[in-house]
Amino acid sequence: MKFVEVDLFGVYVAPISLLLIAAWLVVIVLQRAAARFHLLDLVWHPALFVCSVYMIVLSSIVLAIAG
Amino acid sequence: MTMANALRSADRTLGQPVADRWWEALGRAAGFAVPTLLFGLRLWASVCLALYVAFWLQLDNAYWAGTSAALVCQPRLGASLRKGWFRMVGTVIGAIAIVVLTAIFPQNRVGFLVGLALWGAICTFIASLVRNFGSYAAALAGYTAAIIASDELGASGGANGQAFTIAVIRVSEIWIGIVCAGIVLAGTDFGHARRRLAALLIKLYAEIADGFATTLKLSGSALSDMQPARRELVRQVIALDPVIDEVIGESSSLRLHSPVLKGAVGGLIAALAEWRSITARLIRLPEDEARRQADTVLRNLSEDLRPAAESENGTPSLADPIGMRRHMEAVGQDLTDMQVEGPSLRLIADKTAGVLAGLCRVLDGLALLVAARSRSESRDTWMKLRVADWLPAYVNAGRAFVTICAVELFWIVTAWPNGAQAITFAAVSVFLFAPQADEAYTRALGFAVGVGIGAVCAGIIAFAGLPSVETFAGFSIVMGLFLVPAGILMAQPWRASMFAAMVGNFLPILAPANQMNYNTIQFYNTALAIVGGCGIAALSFRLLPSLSPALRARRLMALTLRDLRRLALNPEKWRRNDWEGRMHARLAALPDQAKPLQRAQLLAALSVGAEIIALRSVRLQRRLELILALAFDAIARGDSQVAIARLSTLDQRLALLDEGRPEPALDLRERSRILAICDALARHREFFDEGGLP
Repeated sequence: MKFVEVDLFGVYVAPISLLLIAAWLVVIVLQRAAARFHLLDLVWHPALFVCSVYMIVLSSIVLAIAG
Repeated sequence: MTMANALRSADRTLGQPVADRWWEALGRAAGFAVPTLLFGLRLWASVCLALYVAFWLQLDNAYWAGTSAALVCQPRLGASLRKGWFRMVGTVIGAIAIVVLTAIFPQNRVGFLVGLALWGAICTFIASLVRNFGSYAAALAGYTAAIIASDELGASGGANGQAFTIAVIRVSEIWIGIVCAGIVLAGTDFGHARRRLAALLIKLYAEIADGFATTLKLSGSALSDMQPARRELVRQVIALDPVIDEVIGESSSLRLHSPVLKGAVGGLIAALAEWRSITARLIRLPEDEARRQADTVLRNLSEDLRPAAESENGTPSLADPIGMRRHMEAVGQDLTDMQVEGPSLRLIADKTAGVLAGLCRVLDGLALLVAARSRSESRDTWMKLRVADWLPAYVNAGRAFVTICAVELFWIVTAWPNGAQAITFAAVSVFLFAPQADEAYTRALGFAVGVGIGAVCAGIIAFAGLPSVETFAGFSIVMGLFLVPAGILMAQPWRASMFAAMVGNFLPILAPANQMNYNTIQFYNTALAIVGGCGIAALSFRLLPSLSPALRARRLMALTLRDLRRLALNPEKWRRNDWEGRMHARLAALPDQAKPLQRAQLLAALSVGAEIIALRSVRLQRRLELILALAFDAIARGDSQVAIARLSTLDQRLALLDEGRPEPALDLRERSRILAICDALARHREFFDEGGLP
């Protein structure tokens, strides 16, 4: 288990909040790439699709760190 | 401006002494800064007073009093006071609902949580049906239940049976906040809504009167050029609704006469509808005949339809609305009594009288605002709830239910200690912004960002400011360091709703108490729950979006056409007031992005429906009655061409019957109604036949 609280200006922040932000940044890059190749036009509900990708990326990051 | 004029103007500016220009700039800056600074100070005073009273009464969570005061404070007095009243009503309803819910599901966690989500859905549904502050009260009833539920829920769901006590305390705290904010605001601000509404009504009155007079003076293709201006006026008239609510909030005497103010809006819409009918008639006539008929009516109209004078700052003013109304009424009566030779001129004269009657209702509103004189206006016309379209309300209710259930499930599965707070704030955002339709996602996102900024500020105040103060005076000064600048930001136009969220959620995150607790972990968890809840609400608007403006506009047009066809089939089942009220509700519900043509089509449908209702009571020979019924049947089937042909046949037969008779078989007025229907059907055939845009 490698999860430790992060000291942010004296406030201890849960590691999941940083992972949430990291996953969000990854999804922004993926979303840009998908928009570049018009991939989002192929899905039924783009917002739901992006949300699902976000959950996958976040879970992958958590599993990668935990492993 | 010519080049020479521009150079002269620049020369004048440059020739002005530097000190004068500085003073001018300073004056302009002060004109903007002083009201915003005053609002910041009022907000600070309201919150501190509410917290003082709540601390003095030793209430459990005193910060709810401060939060209420902050939420009720608005840069406009009328809006604040009106919001306060509706907040009181909504809070009580929400508190009663949660007590009942707890009593129904005393030992049933699932039943209680599903019931809470269901109550939220019902409140969102109602909030989407009613408008302005009524909508706010419905949303309040929803999230007050969530606030009380979050206090009585255990670690992972299930009520603890303290619902009644908590409800009484929360309602008391919220009411203290509302009353304190009301005292501070009403004692330091006299409000400008009455003057603002009067200025808006005068402006619209002037534009309609001018535009209408111009229409009568124009001919041929120039008449069509007036259409964009008229359609834009329809949009501006609809936008008067929230200002009227503010005026009602500011003055209890005006509240008693609110139907007169709403009648003024009805008068403006009626004037626009009649103006549209005249334009359609003049366009269909040969140019010289149109000119002759317009001139006949113009001779009866005096020049002084417009406001009496222009005030110094260029805003039109109205010196004597009561005298003007009397004059307009007399002119309208003259036009109604005018002897004319044909139905076309009768139509133009009657519709002109209709425009004047509409403007008279505006003058009634102005007399109330300017001279505090009022005429009676029927209440039942406006007090009925008329739903323009049910679908957006169902979508919003469904979204609210799914969102609350999802957060509840997440809370139970993860056993998140602050999950109940996340439910509360997800509920606040999802209930409050649902009626905003396509703007809901942007607003909810702005709200979440505002809450995030508020959380950072609350952290700084909690851990850097408050530990060094011991008295309430010191506490108030530290609070002022945040509240005054935040109030200033809230009162300026740029992203005001985001700053309002920052102010409104600052206190629940800070949670000031008589014995302050400086536990960083607890603060962090609370802030995360609140920001997370607001984020989930924003996400819900993204995943389950509201109907797009284009779709809403199309649905409103289709529903209008459906109603018109039903009316054409059974005109005796409709009353004119009901029809007009329903059409006004549809006009008000048309999104801002709707095409101007759609507004014109709605006005045309309003006129056609009103004429059909008026014609239903006409007594005719059996054969002629049959032709009229067949014409209405063609309208109901969406066959305008046949309807126009039958109505024209009816008009010709009536004209033939009248030849050589001292008394006409049918009043010219009724024949002019037939003509008005034909004009509208011919002008908007695509809409009446297919319900869509060309």
